[in-house]
Amino acid sequence: MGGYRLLETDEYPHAPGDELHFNESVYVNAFDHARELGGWIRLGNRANEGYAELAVCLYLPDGRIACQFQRPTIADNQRFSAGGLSYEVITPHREVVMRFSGEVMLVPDPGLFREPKRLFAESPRAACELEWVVQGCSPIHGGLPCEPGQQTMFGRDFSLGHFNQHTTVRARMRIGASDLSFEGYGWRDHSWGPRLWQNILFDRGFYASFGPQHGITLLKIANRDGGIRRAGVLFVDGHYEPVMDLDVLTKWDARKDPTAVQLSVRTASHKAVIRGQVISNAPLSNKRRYGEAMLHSRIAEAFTRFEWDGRIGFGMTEYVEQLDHGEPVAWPL
Amino acid sequence: MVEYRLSPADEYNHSPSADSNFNESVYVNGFELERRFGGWMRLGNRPNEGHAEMQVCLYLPDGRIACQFRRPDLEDNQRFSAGGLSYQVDEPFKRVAMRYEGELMLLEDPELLRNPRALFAEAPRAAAVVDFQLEGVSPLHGGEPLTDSQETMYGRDFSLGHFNQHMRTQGSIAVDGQQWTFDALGWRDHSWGPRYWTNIYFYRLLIANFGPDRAMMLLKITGRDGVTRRQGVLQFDGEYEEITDLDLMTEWTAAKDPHRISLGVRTDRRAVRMEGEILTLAPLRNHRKIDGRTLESRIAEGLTLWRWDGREGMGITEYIELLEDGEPVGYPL
Repeated sequence: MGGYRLLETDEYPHAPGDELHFNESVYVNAFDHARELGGWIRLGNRANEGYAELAVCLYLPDGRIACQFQRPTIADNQRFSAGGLSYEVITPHREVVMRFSGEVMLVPDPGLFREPKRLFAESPRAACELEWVVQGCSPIHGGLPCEPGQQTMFGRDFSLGHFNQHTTVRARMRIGASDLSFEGYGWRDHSWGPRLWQNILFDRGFYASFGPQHGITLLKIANRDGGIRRAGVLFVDGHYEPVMDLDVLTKWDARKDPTAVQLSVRTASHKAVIRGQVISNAPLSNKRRYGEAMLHSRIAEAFTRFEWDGRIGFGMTEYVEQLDHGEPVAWPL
Repeated sequence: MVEYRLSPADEYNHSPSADSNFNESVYVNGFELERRFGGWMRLGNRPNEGHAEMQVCLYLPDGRIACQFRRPDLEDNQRFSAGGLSYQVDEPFKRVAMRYEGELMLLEDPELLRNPRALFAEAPRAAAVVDFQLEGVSPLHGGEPLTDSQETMYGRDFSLGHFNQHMRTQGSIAVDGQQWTFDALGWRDHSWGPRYWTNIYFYRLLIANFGPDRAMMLLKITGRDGVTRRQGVLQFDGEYEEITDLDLMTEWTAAKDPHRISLGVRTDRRAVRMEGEILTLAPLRNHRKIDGRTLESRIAEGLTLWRWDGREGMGITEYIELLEDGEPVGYPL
């Protein structure tokens, strides 16, 4: 049993390792539970590759997705600021702010995500201003593993250090002429270490809030060795309880994207059956040359409404998995 | 790596260990898909306790359950024959037979099984002869573990040696002036070693045939330490494939009995979904006094209709779990 080390300084950028694929990323999501809108924002510094991964993905009440994906150049890993997106730690472990000022694409049909060239060429665009003030409402889960052999949540070939937290969010959000600001709930994480998205054979991740005292961080993952692990926490009455077991069954659409999920979760003191209905899915993908091979993963990012013992929650369903001849390797599970 | 020793001699009775709760049991089942009926029989010798556990449970085509549960006296572990139930090995690893001749209770309403005192006092009875002839249609699975530390399927406090096999079952059931015969499919197992039923915290065992070349035997078992294991095999094109993952969801009746089951199963070769519906459930119980404490487990035995990739199958669903304050500890998972 290793445990994790987490310092206030871990909220800030770490010195990159020598690995070419060193990544340090910050991610926040937030959702308005009343109007069923919100989204996620991520900045991943790849200092040794000279660029950042910038992603903004907002699920609008009219069904459109407002998004931006860029790879702005960066010179080092000194700060989280690139391509108009910035992340500031106000009080370590308590409060962070994510801001974006730039252009988003307004995607009426999420199917367009499957054709990135058309997505970028044809999507109408609008100015976007975001300022999300994110305050922790839960303990922090994770950190840097204390022992060399210790299993980490996503596996050491995806991140070495990783922590996450459920949050309340004051989101100022303007897209074009529309003010979509809200106060809601969300989740954030921060990871550092070598990362290739393709090191995940497949995963099913569920990150959602059910108000200020309840939430889920649930992960079923297979790394490249094929071994399957279940990890995460239930956020129950303000406390985190580590997951001891997790079952996931998914309903799919004709494109093999998730449309609904049923989760059964057990901790030392709670058992939960949680049902999720996808409201809107962004079928993203990631390609990476790996030696001689070109590896391709789908990254389904689905805004999801969850129900847990009569409580309604909102958050993200994230299915990452390698594609083999275009087919997701873990489907239909 | 799981490795077992299994020899033809293991088909016969083993020398009992000194454990007072040493059990050696043989179990067979057979179900006809067309008329959706069949049943199971079990004889468990407990020579160190001086009795056998004798069980016959038949799901008749007219919806009734015909059953008998007794603890006939036993002097030793020389044979499988007690209380009118006998088991014979015709050819080790290939052909066995089980026959019951005696009285069966005939239940219009399985609910009577929840109250054994009322069951034995009130259930109508009829003379019966039940004859199952079984022939293996699969490899054998299991045996006696080769090392002391090796995990066994059900855990060492439930059985030391255990093997099982999918079968062709030719059955004849004559009861209450009616007779049904079938030539269908089924399963058998044979276990030996110390056993308390109440040593299982909770498990879900799913066994079915989908034709002579396709079958499943799946177990999800959770110990008192909260650790869950998933084990079992799929039979595909006649061969057994060890499972590498299992996700299971149950829909329940108001009485907290399983009603419908959804499965996701993975082997090294395939990922499959299955849906099951329990047609008739026998809600059994087991009481045991251990160290001055009375423990009670529910043993739900459900005749189940399955669907796997367009094929229908039939078999038995067995949910065993401790009751704490009368509540099944694994519910609602």
